[in-house]
Amino acid sequence: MIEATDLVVRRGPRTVLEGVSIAIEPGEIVAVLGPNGSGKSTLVGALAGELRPVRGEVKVDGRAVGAWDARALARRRAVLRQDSAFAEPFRVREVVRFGRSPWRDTADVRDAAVDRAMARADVAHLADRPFTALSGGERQRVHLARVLAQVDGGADPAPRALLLDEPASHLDPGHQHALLALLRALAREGAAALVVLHDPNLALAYADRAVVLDAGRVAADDDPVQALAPGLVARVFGVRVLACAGPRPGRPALVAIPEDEPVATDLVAH
Amino acid sequence: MTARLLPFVALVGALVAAALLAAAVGALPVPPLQLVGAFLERLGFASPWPLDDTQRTILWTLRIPRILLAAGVGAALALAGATLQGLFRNPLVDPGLLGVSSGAALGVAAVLVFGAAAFPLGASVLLPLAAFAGGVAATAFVFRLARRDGRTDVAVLLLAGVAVNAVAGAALAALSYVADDAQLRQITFWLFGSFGGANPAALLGTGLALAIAVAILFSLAPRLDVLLLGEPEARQLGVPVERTKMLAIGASTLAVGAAVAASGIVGFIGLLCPHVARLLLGPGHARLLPASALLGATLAVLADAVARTALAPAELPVGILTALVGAPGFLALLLARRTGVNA
Repeated sequence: MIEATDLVVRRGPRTVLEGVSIAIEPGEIVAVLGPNGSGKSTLVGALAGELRPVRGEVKVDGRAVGAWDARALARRRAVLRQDSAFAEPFRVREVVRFGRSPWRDTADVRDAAVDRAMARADVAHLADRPFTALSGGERQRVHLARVLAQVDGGADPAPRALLLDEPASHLDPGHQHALLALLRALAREGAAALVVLHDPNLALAYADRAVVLDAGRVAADDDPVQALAPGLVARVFGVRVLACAGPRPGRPALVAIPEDEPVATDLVAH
Repeated sequence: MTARLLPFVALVGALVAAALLAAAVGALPVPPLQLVGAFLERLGFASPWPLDDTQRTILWTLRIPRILLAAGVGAALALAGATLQGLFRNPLVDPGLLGVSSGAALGVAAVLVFGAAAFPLGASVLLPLAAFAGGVAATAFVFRLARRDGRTDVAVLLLAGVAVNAVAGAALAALSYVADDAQLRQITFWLFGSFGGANPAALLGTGLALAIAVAILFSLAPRLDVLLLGEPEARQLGVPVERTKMLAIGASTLAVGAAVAASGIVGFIGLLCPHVARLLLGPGHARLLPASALLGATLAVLADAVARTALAPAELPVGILTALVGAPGFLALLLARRTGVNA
């Protein structure tokens, strides 16, 4: 549904993405991982059409992202940026309602979509609280509810896409898993989701595919078990990991080995 | 619904009360019943509370036009202040930020120093035109500076505004330096602001500009709300961000340009009223903009009433008064808000 080919993106003098190709199809969760500064947010920005690549192209449903009518595109695809600076004393419900601005729906339809989104993001109980009174994790979930409301097409069967840049960064473990489980439910309903994550175990447990970025290039784009193999993780992230039996059959969990811990080589071997 | 309308009923009530008070007070008081009588007469009814000719003349040719001008200017300044504070996501923004006021001042000073006499039009026509042109030109220049690749960077806009204000201030100082005593006095008085020039042309200009600005800004209110999320977020929600910014800045500049042209520089209303409105009604523009405008109108009418009467028969420049009352009011508000947040 979203397809990028050979993206080269510069930020000032720096080339942040150097020939990245990626595709996300309806029904799948693609996790994007990579060290700090590897180009994850830039990739999201480029896929969103917010950053113009100097080479390559981003297509949504086969049409160049820049050729879309902004509102029509907004109804199909929502973007959650990392660390919003938004801090206005709107009520939570009003913030989520902003997600409905590309729609011209009746108050009933709008309020139903807003209520659904708030319930799914677990912020329904905060509906009448001022946004400024919330914690960082609660704010993140409100923004999530906002983008969920944005792509709630009701009975419209056209597939939706979500581009989420570190949506779990401020969430407690329970809400991190609830978020990924929610993405799986959305994927089953036909949505395409690209989600930037730092925790490889979340990707291993929930993603259909993992893309590992390293210095602006795709180091791996594969089934999460392959993409996040201990050898590759050690090379890209500079941390030695053990692959242990995970909660899902065939999906290991990674445990980092403390830097100062001498480890028998047979343990790190994959 | 009634609960949501209640603040507006109160604000309209306050404006009407301020206007009646302002119509009543002055060197020649017009008691409340005579005021009622004046309106009855106008509407063609027989009035049990007759006015004498002097009262009638003062009321209809001096006080009421002046009240209307003060209300229009106050509303324009506060409306623009509320819009720009939201657009810049910065509560310190004053409607003059983008250079309207300093550009207008420069325009007026240039005309006064380089010879209003050289122009066939009278000063009462020429000065407002110079003020409006100077103000709009300065803002257009600031806007142009901040525009690159079809996008206007709000941070650059803010800094360019500061720089253009500084340059205009320096040019104004230079003009004041070369001005003779009479010119200097005229410049200074213009800078203090006054609603004394309430002629039909000033009323028409301010009213027209305010009406256009109100029509544009009220219709932009939902988009201005979404813009508070941040420009990328608003773009991703399908908001035409650049067009919205341009329209909002254009409408604000029109309103403030006309206000400054009609009354000189009246400070603090555009800074203070949006703050009070935000405290009362929250950040949503659909309520914030009309509330700010009503508060601005009320405050300007009251300030003018005090300016006319406090030192009677002399008149205190209204700009001095709004700064004198507005600055401590602003401070009190800031401090109250800070303790409120910490509590």
